[in-house]
Amino acid sequence: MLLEIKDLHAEIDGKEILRGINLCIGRGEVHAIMGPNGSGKSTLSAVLAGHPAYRVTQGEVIFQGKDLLAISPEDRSREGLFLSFQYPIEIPGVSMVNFMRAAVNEHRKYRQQEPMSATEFLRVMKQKREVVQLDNSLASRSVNEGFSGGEKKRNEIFQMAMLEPSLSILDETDSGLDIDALRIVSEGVNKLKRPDNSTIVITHYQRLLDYIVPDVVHVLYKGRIVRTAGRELVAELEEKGYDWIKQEVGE
Amino acid sequence: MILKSYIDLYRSAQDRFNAGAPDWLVEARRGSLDFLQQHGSLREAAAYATDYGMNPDRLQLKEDPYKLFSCAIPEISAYNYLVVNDSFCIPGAAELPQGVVVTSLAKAFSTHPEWVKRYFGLSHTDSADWHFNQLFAQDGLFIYVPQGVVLDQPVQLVNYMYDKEARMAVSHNLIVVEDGAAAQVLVCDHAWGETDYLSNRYTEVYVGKGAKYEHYKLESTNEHMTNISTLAIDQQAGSQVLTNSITLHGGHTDNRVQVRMLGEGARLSLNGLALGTGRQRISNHTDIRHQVAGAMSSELFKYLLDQAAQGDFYGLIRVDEGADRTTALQTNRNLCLSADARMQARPQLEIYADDVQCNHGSATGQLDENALFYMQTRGISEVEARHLLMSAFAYEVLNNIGIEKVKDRLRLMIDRRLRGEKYNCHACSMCQ
Ligand SMILES: Nc1ncnc2c1ncn2[C@@H]1O[C@H](COP(=O)(O)OP(=O)(O)OP(=O)(O)O)[C@@H](O)[C@H]1O
Ligand SMILES: [Mg+2]
Repeated sequence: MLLEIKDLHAEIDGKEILRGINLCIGRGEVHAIMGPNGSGKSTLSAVLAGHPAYRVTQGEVIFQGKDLLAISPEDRSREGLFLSFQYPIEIPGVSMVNFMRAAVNEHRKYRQQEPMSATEFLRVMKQKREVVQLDNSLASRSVNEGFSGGEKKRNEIFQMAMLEPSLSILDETDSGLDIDALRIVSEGVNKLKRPDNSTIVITHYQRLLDYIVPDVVHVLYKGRIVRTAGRELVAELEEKGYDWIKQEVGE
Repeated sequence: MILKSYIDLYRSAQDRFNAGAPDWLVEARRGSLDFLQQHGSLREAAAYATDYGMNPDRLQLKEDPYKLFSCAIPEISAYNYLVVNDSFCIPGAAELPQGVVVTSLAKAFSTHPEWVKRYFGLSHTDSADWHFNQLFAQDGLFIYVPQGVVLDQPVQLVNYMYDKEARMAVSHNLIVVEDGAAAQVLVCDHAWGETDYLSNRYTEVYVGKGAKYEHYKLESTNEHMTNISTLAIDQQAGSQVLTNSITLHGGHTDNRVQVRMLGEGARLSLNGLALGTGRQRISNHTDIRHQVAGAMSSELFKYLLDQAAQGDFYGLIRVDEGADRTTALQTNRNLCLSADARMQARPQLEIYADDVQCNHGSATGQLDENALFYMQTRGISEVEARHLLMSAFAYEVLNNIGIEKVKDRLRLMIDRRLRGEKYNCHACSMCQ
């Protein structure tokens, strides 16, 4: 098992948002998490990535055999966890190149590898940019600063390509992408797929899941996973919305 | 000592202080003495309380100071000059462009009396600090760049505090860049050992019509230093001036920059960066006077304060009556990295003209937690993430530096300083 979440409860500013999440993800699997606005999808991503504002009150998370909640956000990344942000952060004054070089070299240091040479690094950057067709001019600017919504999302997947994670959480990567960009970015994600790495795709729409085809689909509602099924659930939700699920869980 | 003791000292040793001074200066010093007796309120007056030694007899070091403190920014070729405490050290002959004079002010009193007389005190405003400096300063750097001449390399002046006992240094630099000429000056302040030092330095710069002048001031001293400096610049029509005051290490720093925009089309870019830790206190006080129409100034000062450091920014922009079509922009951004760090910001606009574009903004905050977290999720350690954010914040003040090598060097020094390397700016061999 790559990731095991057991009875996870988490709160922010004293308000409980995750109320007992159970989720298992095997190597090589693609899981989709859907659910109404405000149900806690981004909160789950943030807790897994180690955001300091959230407090885990109960439960545990095992990632590749390690107690994920006990390690720092940077070590989670170095261990192979990647979060594509729903709202990527702008960092004025820090160039994409310096940011990415710092990230790649910290990953290498963690694995006791030498830092990448400048030429090698630029070569890899170029190669990975092509995966999502990220414009070179974006790569030479400050991190996300002034990027359009779609450019920011593309940039997230570019970073994923650079870091080669074993588990990627894509939080609404499709929002903000135009039709062509959606295809390009999804194809990029698929190109990065290996038999042993896994993906959690958080989305509201079937469109993305037509490209990145999930093995398992979950519905998150009010901080709990209330339904888990195969990919056929996507079409059903697209057609009927969430009301019937809300009814089933007694709301 | 208090101001009165200094006045008494001057009185009792008048002949020694005035030895070598031209008559007009001796006369002016009488006025200064009167002024100080009547309105004796110095900036940082408390700092003068220590019983510092002075050097009325201008005793020189026995060894060749240029050998003792050979200083050069390795990647930059510059004309190097050294002021040890308050005395200019005469260097070996340098090949300067045609007509350019770089020498000791004390020497220039006799070698170039007309020029010194014409420009000395032009930019002064009646303040106790000016008069104190006029009374006691006997030396400093004198630069004269004749009309239309471009100084091909920067002039680097190192002010080096060097004594075993508490020491005060008062010096006066006079820089004249005539019409259409161009010069760059890099001033580095250093201090030796753990002696208590106080310096009061006044730099006057005349920038002629269409002339270009760049002034970089870099302080890398230590907590025993009180560094009081004034940079007073007069800009004629069409001149372009860039200044940048960077405080990397110090004790108590009080920088004042006064610029008078005296001709149409003059442009000024006034910048500063203060990096404070420990109990450092850093004050930058800027005073821009737009006295004529159609000049432009833009100002950027940034502070990064850690531990119990205190920062103070006071930025006055005054647009006189008739100075229409003035553009004046002022930005001040500060980061307090610890709960004990303190920042005081006081921007001030006084506008007496019409049709002006003036703008000021000041903000003090902390490092962006979301940006830190974002970087951490990419595997960047918190320490490194903080470093990236801090250096990005600091580097912005270097943006409009024209000389690429100076910029690179300053970046490197800021980088090292932010990584916590102490008392070593690597700009020269002095502290190594
Ligand atoms: N600081 C906070 N204090 C209180 N409630 C918060 C805070 N931050 C987030 N929440 C709440 O937590 C809930 C879950 O938010 P989250 O962003 O995880 O939802 P989501 O499922 O990702 O929604 P969406 O589909 O709109 O992206 C929301 O109701 C939100 O208002
Ligand atoms: Mg969300």
